[in-house]
Amino acid sequence: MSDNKDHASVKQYIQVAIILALITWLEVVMPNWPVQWVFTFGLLILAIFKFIYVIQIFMHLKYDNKFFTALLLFGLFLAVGTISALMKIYDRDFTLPSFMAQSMGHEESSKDHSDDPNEANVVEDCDERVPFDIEIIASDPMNFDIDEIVVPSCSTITLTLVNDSNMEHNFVLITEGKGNEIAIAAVDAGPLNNYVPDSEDILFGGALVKPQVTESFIFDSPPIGEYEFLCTFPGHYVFMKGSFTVE
Amino acid sequence: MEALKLQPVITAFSVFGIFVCIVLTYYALLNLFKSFPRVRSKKEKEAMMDKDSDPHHHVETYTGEPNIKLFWWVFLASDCMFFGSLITAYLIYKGQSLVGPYPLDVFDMELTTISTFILLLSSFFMVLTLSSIQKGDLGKFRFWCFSTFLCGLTFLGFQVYEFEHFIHEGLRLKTNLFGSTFYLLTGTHGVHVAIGVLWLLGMFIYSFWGGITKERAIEVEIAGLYWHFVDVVWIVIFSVIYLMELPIGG
Repeated sequence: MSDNKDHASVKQYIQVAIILALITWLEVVMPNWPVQWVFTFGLLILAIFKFIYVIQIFMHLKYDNKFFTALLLFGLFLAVGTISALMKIYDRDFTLPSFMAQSMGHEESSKDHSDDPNEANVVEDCDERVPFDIEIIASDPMNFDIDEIVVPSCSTITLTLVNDSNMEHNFVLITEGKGNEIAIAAVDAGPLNNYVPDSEDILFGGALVKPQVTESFIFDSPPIGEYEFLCTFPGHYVFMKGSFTVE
Repeated sequence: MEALKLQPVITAFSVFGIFVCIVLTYYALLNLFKSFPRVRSKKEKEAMMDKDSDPHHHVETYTGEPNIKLFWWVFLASDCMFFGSLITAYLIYKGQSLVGPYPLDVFDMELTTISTFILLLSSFFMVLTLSSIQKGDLGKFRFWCFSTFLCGLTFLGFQVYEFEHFIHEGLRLKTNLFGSTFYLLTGTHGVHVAIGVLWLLGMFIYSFWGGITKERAIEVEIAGLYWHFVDVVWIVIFSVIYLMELPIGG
């Protein structure tokens, strides 16, 4: 084999290096584009492009025995298969919105306190409602100061959650006996949904309250009966729960 | 909005890829065996005699390629799976940490971008190292080899600084899931870089003892393969771990 065909020229190496640097620059600048899927897909495609470029030219697979290419691809495909299978086993789908949400959660969660999606979806029909205030303090380690709340029927509850701890907490009102189920579902709901899963058993799901922050939530009381409240932040349910009675 | 599920597509794609690779490997091997028949004709024997008198020819192997190169490609292929599992561990536990600091609290994107550029630059120096030894230019080889070594060392320095900064912010291996998976992944990559740096330094010193020659350029080539692979892994880590953490529109 002649020397020229064996590998790329120095000039070509310089070109590749410049292109790689430009792509990296593009990757860092890209978040300024506000479209999420462009960002995720763009990053993946650019990374794959760089990957191929380096192994083809710098590792001269392009000029080498194709046996080596097959060998590396074999390992790569096994790796991708392993990743995919592991994600499935641990139930982390490559579902694009939540895939992004996982990383965005901590920043975005506090913005939509006013229009919460799960606000009181089971409400008693009342002619007139009386206002009723509750204050509940969350403290370290994973503790609500009260484990029993009693409210009058036909009231509009203003719940003030004082987060006096170093963790995030929320207040979720659910039907009695469903605590365990909701707490497990909350992990999958993720931080972008404030760890409030989509469930009929949820009567009110409040947004996450950041450490050392006080937030108020307003919701109408459910019909007379026994309910349960809890914090659905993963792991907190064990300690942060209590009974909620409407009479 | 109906969520787009990529999982079945990716799984199917990789299973398909594995089969294609098996077929390719089979044909590659078949081809190689064909080129080394047990019984050689007289003409071929003569050709081989000529080859033997040529000092530059490689040692004959079944694959027709030096075994050491084959070994390193097998190693790199297995390393893909190793890093694949570590990256998965990070992704599975992403956003599952119960306490801070969270990724965005500690990441310094400018710093990491600079260190990424330096690692890319070192890859460029590495090809120049190989190119100069293949031309037999020992002086240039030493210069580029040492440049690559310095770049690798700088990258390691950045990583040490970064880790120290993170620990100062309260992120330790045992703090949360982010800490455990992040340190395990980037630490393993750092160990790879450290081994590469030692290898480069070894080659640099060895060249003064007359161990690196044009005929033994294969030694530099495999070091290059390893070094580029470490670079390629960082390309993936930088995109998946660091860049995907960035808030969009900021």
